[in-house]
Amino acid sequence: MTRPWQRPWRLATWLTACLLLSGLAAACGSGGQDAPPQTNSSETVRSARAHREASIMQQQQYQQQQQQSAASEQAVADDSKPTPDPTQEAVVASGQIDSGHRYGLPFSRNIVGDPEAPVLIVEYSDFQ
Amino acid sequence: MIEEAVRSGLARYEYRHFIIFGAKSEFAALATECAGDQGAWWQFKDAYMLQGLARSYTRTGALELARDAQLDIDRFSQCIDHNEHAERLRQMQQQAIADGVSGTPTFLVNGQPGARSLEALMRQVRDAASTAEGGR
Repeated sequence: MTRPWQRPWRLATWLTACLLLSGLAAACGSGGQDAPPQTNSSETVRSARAHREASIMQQQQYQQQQQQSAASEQAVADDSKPTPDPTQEAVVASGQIDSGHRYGLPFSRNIVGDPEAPVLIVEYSDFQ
Repeated sequence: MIEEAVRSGLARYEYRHFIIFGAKSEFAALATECAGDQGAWWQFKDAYMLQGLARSYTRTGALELARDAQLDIDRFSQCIDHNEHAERLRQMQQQAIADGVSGTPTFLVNGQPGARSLEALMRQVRDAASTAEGGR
């Protein structure tokens, strides 16, 4: 009994069938749906480079946004810091006392009297 | 007498908190500072010092005072609840200690320790005014 590959014409038929099948497999492609199309090597390199450059740009934009956001948050934090000097704060609310025994005297928060007066009397006290 | 010196333009008068009697004093000082944000510092000071309103040492009492003074209640209560002037009060306390204050009331006249009696204090004020005027 002779084996198929022992006959030349059957061997040729098998080889042809194998070539056809491998060609068909290559035409269908072996990558996933998201993989860039496999056309030829130079196109593949260009596509990969473009993909990488787009990714780098996205990263840079994200970093810029983060930096801007951090900078604006810092600015808000700086603005909301209390002024440490009580003398500076003393000018926040000022005017003229409109009632009571100090009526008509100019005041600036906890200071009363003419700002140009030559003498400053300070009283330290406790309300109780 | 101090008021006379202020009215005559000889002196200006500054009140600073020196808290030695604890939480109630601290609260009263805070409430006064919060009122000061809305221009009612002296109304509150008088309420605490002259009228001796014991009720005002509580949050409810301070809010009543704020209503009497027609303040913005939301702003006032937020100031109290967030202890917004804690830093200012702390600085005054530190300054008092730096100025050598150990009890109340303590007066300073142009930065110098004030006399104990009012009469002596007024003499000191007049002398300080003469010195300042002479130096101009």
